[in-house]
Amino acid sequence: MNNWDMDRRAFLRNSFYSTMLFGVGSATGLVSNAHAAFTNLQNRLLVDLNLNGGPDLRHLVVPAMPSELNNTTRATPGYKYWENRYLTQALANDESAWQARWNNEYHHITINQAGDVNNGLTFGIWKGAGWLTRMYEEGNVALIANSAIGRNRAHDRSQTQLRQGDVFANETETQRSGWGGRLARFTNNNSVSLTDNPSPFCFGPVDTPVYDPLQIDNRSFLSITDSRNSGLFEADLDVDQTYQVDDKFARSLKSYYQALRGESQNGNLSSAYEKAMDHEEKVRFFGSELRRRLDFDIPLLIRALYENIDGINNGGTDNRARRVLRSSSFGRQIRNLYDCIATNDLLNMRVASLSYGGWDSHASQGDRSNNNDVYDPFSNLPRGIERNLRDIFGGPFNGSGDLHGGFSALWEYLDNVDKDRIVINVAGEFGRQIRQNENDFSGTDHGDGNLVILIGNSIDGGVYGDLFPESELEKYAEDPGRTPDIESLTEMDHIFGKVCNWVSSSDSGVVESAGRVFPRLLETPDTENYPDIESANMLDNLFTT
Amino acid sequence: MSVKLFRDDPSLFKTSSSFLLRLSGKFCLLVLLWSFSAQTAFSRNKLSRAEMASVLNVINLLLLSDDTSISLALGEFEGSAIVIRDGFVADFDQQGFDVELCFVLSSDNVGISINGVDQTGDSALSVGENCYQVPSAQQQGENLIVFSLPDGQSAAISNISVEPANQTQLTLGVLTRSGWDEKAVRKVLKIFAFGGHSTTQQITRWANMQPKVAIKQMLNFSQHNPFLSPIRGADQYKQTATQYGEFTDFVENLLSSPASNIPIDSDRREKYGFDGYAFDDTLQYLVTVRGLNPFRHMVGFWETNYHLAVNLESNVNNEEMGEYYDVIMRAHESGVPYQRVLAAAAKAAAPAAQYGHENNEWIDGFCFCNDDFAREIHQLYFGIFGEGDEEHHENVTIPNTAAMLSGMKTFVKVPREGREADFPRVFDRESINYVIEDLSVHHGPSLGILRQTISGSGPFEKIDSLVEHSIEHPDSLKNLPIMIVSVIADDNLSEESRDKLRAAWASMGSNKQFLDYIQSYAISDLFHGTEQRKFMSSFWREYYFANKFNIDNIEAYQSFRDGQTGRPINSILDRDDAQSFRPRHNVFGGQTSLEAADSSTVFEDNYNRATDDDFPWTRAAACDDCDQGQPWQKDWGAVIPRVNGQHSVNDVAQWLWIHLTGSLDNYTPLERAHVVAILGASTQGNEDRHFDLPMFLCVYNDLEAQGQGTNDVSTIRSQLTRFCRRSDGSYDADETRWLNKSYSVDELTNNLSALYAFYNPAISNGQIPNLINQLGSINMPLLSDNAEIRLQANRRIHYAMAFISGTPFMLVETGE
Repeated sequence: MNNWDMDRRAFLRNSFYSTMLFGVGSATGLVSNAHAAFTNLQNRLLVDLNLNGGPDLRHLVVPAMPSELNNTTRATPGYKYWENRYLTQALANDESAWQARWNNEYHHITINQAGDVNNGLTFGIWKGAGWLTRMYEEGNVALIANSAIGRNRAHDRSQTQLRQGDVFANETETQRSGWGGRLARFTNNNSVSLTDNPSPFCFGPVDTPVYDPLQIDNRSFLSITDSRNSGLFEADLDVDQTYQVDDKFARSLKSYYQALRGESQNGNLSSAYEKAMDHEEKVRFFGSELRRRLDFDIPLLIRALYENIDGINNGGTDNRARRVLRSSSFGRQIRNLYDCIATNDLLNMRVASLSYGGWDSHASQGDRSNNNDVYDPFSNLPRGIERNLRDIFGGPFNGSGDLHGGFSALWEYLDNVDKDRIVINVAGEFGRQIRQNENDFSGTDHGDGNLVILIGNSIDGGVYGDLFPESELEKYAEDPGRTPDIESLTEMDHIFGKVCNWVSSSDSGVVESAGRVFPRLLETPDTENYPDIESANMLDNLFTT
Repeated sequence: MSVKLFRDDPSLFKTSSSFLLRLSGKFCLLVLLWSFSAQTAFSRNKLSRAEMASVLNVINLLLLSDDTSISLALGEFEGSAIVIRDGFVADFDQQGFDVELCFVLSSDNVGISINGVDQTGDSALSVGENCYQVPSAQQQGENLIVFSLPDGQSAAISNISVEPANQTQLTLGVLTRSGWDEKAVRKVLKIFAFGGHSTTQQITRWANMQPKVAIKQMLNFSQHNPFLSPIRGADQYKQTATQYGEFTDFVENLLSSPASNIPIDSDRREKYGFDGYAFDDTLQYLVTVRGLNPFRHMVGFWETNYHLAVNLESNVNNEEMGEYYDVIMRAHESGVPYQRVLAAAAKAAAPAAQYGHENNEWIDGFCFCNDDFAREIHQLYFGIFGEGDEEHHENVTIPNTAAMLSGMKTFVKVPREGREADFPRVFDRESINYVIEDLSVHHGPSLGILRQTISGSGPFEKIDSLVEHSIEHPDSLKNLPIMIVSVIADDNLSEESRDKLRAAWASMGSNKQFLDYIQSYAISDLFHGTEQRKFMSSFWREYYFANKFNIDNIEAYQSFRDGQTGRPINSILDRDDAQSFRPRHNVFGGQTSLEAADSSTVFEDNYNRATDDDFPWTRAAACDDCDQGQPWQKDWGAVIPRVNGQHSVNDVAQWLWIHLTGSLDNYTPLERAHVVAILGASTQGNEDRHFDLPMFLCVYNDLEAQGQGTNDVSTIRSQLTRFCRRSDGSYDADETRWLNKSYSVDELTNNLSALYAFYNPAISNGQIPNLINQLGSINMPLLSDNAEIRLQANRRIHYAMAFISGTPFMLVETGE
């Protein structure tokens, strides 16, 4: 089948036939998801997590605070970080407090890789991100430093650029394809948005008759905000219809939409109504199919992310049951993701999109609560972005006793077949400035370069790029009126392009999609239009398979 | 004798005093009458209303008698009716450009010729507004329009004008009267006033006016607009016609006040107050309660929830939000240039709390500041990104703006008791809900911002100085006019359209009047063109639908009752994750129209509300004691016009479709069949069971199958509960197929080229059009003396509205 000729009818037929072909799941190996309706991933899957707001990932991954303090060590990037960021760490201007925080709250990692720009570097991952730390130690996390997404410090413009994968995108041009949608279209699969609002990252390009990423065709886009409660109300003919007012409503509208679809196919309906017609068809079909397939319980740890489950996170003065996550929305997205993986054959899913907001930490970036009950989801105590990080990356590590955060809970219920086929891509639209705001409610302002985090069993773990460049030292000394950033050196095209190539490939062979999704990669290296990269080929071995 | 009549007292006449009439012999008598009334007025100070009306009636009678001709001057408008007879002549002088002649005609017995050419066929006159374009090349020195009528007959023409055929306002091409019709008026109301509350008659009046004149009446910032938001005579709750036009006044002294006379239990009102937990639910009342000005509150909503958004989820409190809203709207109402409106907003407490610059302090040459608002005042307020000047923007403008914002205090900081030694310090705030300048921590000297020198003794003066430059900044001139229109009115602006909007905005120079811009755009070819497309965010969709669903203020006030009375709004918006004063994108605004349009969940929820939950549609037609202990019943019969004394299902169906969607553009036989069935296919007697189209036709088919076939709808109605019924616990195969049948347009109009494969007598007999027509001719008993029958008829109106609400046409407004 020609990748570009699938129309809506074919899309639905294909989904239906794939259900029949693959049937109900056949989980292999040791699994904790063993139930008949769970189907292992048929293809590799990109799970994209958008950190909306410009996350300060230098709060998550920090340089070492020197244990010995002298003129030399005080001139290192590590010391300078703590000297210029202690307020964002909710600390006093006190070196011993900085050392205590470094020693007690960060898991120390030293890079030993001869020839690597970070060879000998010691850095820390915040202990509240236990699952991330575990995955890093298992070699399944790539930290890509100095990444360039939006270089304009404007949220809306940079978010548009991030979602569209286009450094030239403008915040007013939102109806364009997202790079996740382009990837899914390339592989002849669907992109699925699992967020409360449909993610433009998943919007697909027009490809018939001519490929045009500046236009949208969402025939391969699904939006699932509640996998367990989806679908259009229909009349129930098992009940006498004479007295059923709501059934009459439902029958009228269903009958009407079917006829209207005929009019639309005959060209008698304005294109302005296409979105609504598309929703009606997809929600009706997938709603009923998902209800049929998802007849198993939601795994407990996943449900506990957003529901109060007794015995998981009891606390407070009355020891009541509490959900685990601060953001119940993120918990439900994890549940949606789990259900979509379980029914990936039905959904024909290749790309999934999540989001977590609340990163615009101009003030109160750190945890200033002086309260150790970090799992109280209802508290308004000022925990800054650490509650976000814990929600996403938290989990037990080294006997910490931490509760499972979002990804940690999901990982508990996937077998290796699925884990081997997933890459999690975590990025925000820009980083934050390297100096803190000098007021009592300290945070950081909009910046430039940031980390992109990739997680997956097929990732060749480690740090890519100079994690804490010496060149930042002079920035710390700049005029207070200037607002120095982490310099962005590697544009997203390279990073996400590698992700695309891996996702579009399989164990059977390599299928390169990067150039289709990120066309700037097709330009000649070192020319004006070619995306920047910190050092050539630095990402060539990002994946092990 | 032809005499020119000069009108000395414009207040007695609706139209321009310079309009010229040729009368025969009436002038002297007219002057005598006027002198009498004037003397009487002077001697008694003032004529009573009745006396004035009598005088006017006599004058009108004189004016309406025996006129034989009119001379029309370019641009003038005569609203009064003129009786014409055969041979009546209107003339106008030759112009150097194309002109458009328009007038409203009262009857269809009139012919017309223009410069000797009879206007026939499609150009023939019709009842209502008629417009003729007379190209420059076809004009003569004196252009003659001759009206012909049968002997002895007369007609009336009114709203006469001759205007240029191509007009502009603020450089935008605007509609002339020929393009300005009821559909255009409804489109403006839908987008700019959440539909408004105007009567059908008012919409017709606006449609028959010059658009440049009508738009000023439709869209303005007065606190009460009786044309846009009249209160029905029968409505008990009229206080908002003259009071409570401002947000804080409305909330404090009406909605949450235990003393006000509104149909909300006293113990429920407190929650809407500034200390209440439901404060953020108050905005919907400003939009839906009649007597106020829904255009004003559309702008207030857009400013505080989108353009200049602040968020109750942040540090902003309710009082600050209310103050913010009123500060902005008072500035709009005062008519100051738009940059002054933005300055007023920037000086309010809400942004200071939202962005945290209430903590900005300049001490000993160092700025203890964050640059959040320092960036966003440029970007979000004015659309300035510093493009092409990024280095200066980031390293000079923004830090200096942060310094400019130092010393703006909205609270008194009190170190928390017992924790004075903590560091970082912990404060309690005693909010004062407005900004006071603390010059001791303000950067006093001038600052370089946007490459301008910004001076002022304190932050307020500096902000006032800054905005005068901001409004003329190239980025702002490029982006701000687009930011306004793209959020409010059009998701589909081409680059060419954007350039036209920019030109219109720039044409105002430094005196940029927001209202002039909006009014001009609202009557422009751009807004009314085929490219315009606006998807309805959940806010727009629900505020609009509530204004269409409710007809009395009791319904607006009781929307909290989840559909027992009035259209429930907040529960619907909560479900769509669209909460006023809690924008989902924080300072970047609430749910966007495209988010709503792209969301299958929003579609799904809207669809399921139209189907799964009949309670709001059924129950909202009457109550036993909701009106402060008294019963209340919906009275669509008083609102929906009768045609020839009837409320025929056909006419009601059409009226409802136009009422909700704005025009008949998408009202095809498919829509008609369904809506007519819902309205007309009811059981007889109390008419307490309605039937949808497939079910009605199932009954028809079952009658046929049982050998009792009939093509008489009245007979079918008498059998609706006896046929197509479950027997032996289930519907048989044929009934199931008929109930699940979707009837295509071809099947509904008997336009079949092939035989339908399955047994379906309604199709094979070719009777569907006949059945629909019969249903259409039924008179809906909306004015029945029988309360139960009247109630059921009102409910069927709601059921039809439920159907329409689920169609795609309620989710987008388009000119395509």
